[in-house]
Amino acid sequence: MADSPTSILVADVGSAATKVGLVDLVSGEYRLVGATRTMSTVDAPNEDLMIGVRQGIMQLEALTGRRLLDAKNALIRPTRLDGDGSDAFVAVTSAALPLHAVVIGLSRDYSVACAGQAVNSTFAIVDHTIAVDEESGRWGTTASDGRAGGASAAVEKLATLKPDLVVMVGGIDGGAVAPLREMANIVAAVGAAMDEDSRPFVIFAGNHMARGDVVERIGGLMQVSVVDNVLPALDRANPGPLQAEIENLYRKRRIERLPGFDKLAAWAEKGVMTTADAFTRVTEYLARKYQLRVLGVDLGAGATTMVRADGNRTQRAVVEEESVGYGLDALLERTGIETIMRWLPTPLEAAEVHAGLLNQSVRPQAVPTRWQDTTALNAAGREILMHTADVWHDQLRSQEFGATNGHAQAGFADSDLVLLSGAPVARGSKPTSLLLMLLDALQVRGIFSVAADNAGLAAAMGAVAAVNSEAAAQALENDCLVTWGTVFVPDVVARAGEPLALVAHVEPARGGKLEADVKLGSLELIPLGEGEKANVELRAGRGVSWGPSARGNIFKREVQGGTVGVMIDARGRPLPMDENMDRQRERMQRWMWEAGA
Amino acid sequence: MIEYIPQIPEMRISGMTRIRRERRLELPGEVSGAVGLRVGSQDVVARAYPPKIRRALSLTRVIGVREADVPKRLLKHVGDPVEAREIIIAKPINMGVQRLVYRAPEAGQIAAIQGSWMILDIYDAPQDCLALYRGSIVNVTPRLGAEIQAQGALIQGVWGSGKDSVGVLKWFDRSPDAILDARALEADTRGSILVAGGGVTAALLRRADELQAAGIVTGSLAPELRGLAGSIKVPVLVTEGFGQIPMSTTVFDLLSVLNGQEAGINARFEPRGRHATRPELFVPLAASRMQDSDNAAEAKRPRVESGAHVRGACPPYLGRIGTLPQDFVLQWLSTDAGTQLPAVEVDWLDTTGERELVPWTNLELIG
Repeated sequence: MADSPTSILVADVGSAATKVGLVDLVSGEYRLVGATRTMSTVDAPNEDLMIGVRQGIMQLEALTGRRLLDAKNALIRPTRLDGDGSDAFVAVTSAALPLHAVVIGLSRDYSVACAGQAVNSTFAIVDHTIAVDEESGRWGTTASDGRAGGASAAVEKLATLKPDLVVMVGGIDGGAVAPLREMANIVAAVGAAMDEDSRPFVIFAGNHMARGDVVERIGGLMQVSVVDNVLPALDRANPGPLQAEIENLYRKRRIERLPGFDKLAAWAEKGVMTTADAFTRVTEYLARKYQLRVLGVDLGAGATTMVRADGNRTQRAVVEEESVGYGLDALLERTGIETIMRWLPTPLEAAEVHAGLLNQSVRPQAVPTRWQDTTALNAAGREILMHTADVWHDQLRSQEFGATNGHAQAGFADSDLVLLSGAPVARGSKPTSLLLMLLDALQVRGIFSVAADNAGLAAAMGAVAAVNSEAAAQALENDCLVTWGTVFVPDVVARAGEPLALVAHVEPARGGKLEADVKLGSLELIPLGEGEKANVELRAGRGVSWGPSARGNIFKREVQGGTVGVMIDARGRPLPMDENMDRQRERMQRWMWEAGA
Repeated sequence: MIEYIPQIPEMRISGMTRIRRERRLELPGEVSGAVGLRVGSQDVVARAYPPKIRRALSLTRVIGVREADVPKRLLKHVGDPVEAREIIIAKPINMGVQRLVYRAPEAGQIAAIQGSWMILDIYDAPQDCLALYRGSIVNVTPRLGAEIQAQGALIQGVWGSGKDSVGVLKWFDRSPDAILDARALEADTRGSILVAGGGVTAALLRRADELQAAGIVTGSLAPELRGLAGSIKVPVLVTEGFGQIPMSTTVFDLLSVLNGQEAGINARFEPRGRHATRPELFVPLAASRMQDSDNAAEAKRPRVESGAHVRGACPPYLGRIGTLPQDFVLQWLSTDAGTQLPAVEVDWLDTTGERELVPWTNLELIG
């Protein structure tokens, strides 16, 4: 790796914040020697993302005492003998708006469902779907006047929308072509009625036999690309090519059109990655290196990403609509405030919480410092995580149409490491509060470790890996990720009269002994500091187990401590929620107390 | 101490500034203005003809004609206007003795025909794009709109319900935290932009709509009223945020001075993206002074400097106005959660002499 750059300047341009860091060799090891966070300047009145990037670099200069920009605000490259400058610059971004899509297909339950899930779990939002099989006269019976053969309300809605993208799907490979020709006529007619500049891009991901007809009918009017069938057979989904094409389109029509992108791209010799792609790489790296099943969660101000990697397979969901910043508004629209209130302890008021979340959505760069505000945001975070997990699972299920291997049921519940990144960490919520958020929202069970991206630059290390993989790995592990500790979530079958779930014996390596009785339905937090190890022995009571992989009622393991320590969650899954709001909030208060949140 | 001080969000709240604003149609149409033309707030700069309904139907299914036969059966073609009940397509039946026809349900225009599918636009009233900002046209985008340069007072808000309008500012002699209720409205509300202090009631929103008020400017809005505010025809502009937040003194005092003047309220709100826009209220400089000030230098954006006005953007400072003291510095502040945030001392203007260390990211620059 003689040619690898040793000092690497890295930028992550988000929708609300721009993070900049410097990775360099310190005493023979790569370290993140400094990191800053400034507001993003993509939107008006600045309309140049480079303003935020340069400000981040200037702040970094002030922090490190090292000049990185010259008098003309250009990068000093390579590193000078006096230590100023850097050898390389890499960048990732999540600042672009998602694509708005319409999915049109032959069958609601098959092709439309499959494509909708594929589209929704990448950089796009499905605004409308049309399925032929819902309309008995094929395209006709949703007429506003109810007459068969009348106008189609579904198609009329498509004609009034201004989607960036129309995804056409339907038919298994080798199936009938005629319905797809008609579908192409509809899309062509709708496109022809639009102003030339606002016509959507069309991706055809249906029966491959219909490709020629579709292109012939639509190609003269709109840009069309053809990809492999999203559902080539009824028992086999194939969302990959469609998602790859959407990601390609997102890059060309969204990312590359960000104001200032050309200047950023000129700085970043290896190109600008999406933050989601870079985060995926980091998750995959950790899974490969440590042979772990890793679940990565990035709660951004503009989008939410969930990646699960186990060394062989990677599964990702990017939810653009809901986020802990701009997307709080959409979350409230979907769930209503009462759903969020169930995650809050007394005595927070619904109206105040609702107002606070809306205020955060209009000023996502603000960093709440009051307990009630961060607690409300973490409550919203639970709902966003649950929704993203649903999207992730839906996609998994759609890929395994008809498959009986049971993987879809398992999902990510058996993860060994959960990695949390994004705005809640950057905003400085208490680690115990965020850990409880993860435990409440994600149905991860068994024994797993939790780490957090404290510098907000973990994803960007995925881009650093493109210029120096060793630097990326070392900086990631040395400085970006902070271990919170180890979590035990046993399977609990609640039984009346058996209040004790398990007894925990903890023997820290530094000496001493600790014993804790963990009651059924409760959480227990055992302090074990960062870098500390301890032998943990758990004696499970009746109705408590560690899943099919661990037999017997005594479980022993050496565990690592962290910012939080060792958390034992004996509440059972699914979480026992009370329908009575007052009791639920009392319960929430108790859980928060037990978890030290 | 942190040596470099980065930017924070800006909100324009100014008694006198020069702005440029693009007034744009949602659909292409006709632009009536030309560069150099002076425009009043209510002048139409562009006009579009969006369809009331975009009818989409399969001609094959409507009258049972094969796709290949559609062209020869059509009596109208793409771009043709049609009258209500006018025949668009006809097919002979019963040995040609009779014919099956499809008639236009209302007057409109054939927007597209592809294969067997037709898109028929039913006419609606033209959609006018008002100048809104009294000033001069400095740029024209063919078929879409014009850019206007104007001088006057500008108040940007944090949320808007959409829509825009022109009216006369009506300032109610109340405190910045007062809630404006429907009882305060009188019959002369029509055409007024109502200035509430801390908030409005649901009854006020409904009554203002009934009385055809031109707009509502309020310090805050109860979250449960957001849907209602978006559903009425009256544009609603929120200056501080959601909940019960008094209107900041700077905004309140400025609005009291502008009482009775004609203003344009643009409540369109797009928080992100290429067309990101903040809702705003613009009060043009009186016409008599316009000529003199035409040569004035372009208004500068507010800068981070001693004496600069800032506003709290997050509780517990939300809506509070303060200034950056002499020789202010950015320093680290430890939060309750143990996080270190860059912060700055602020002299709050609402309580004499109170100085407080506030996270830098929780402030916005105003001016």
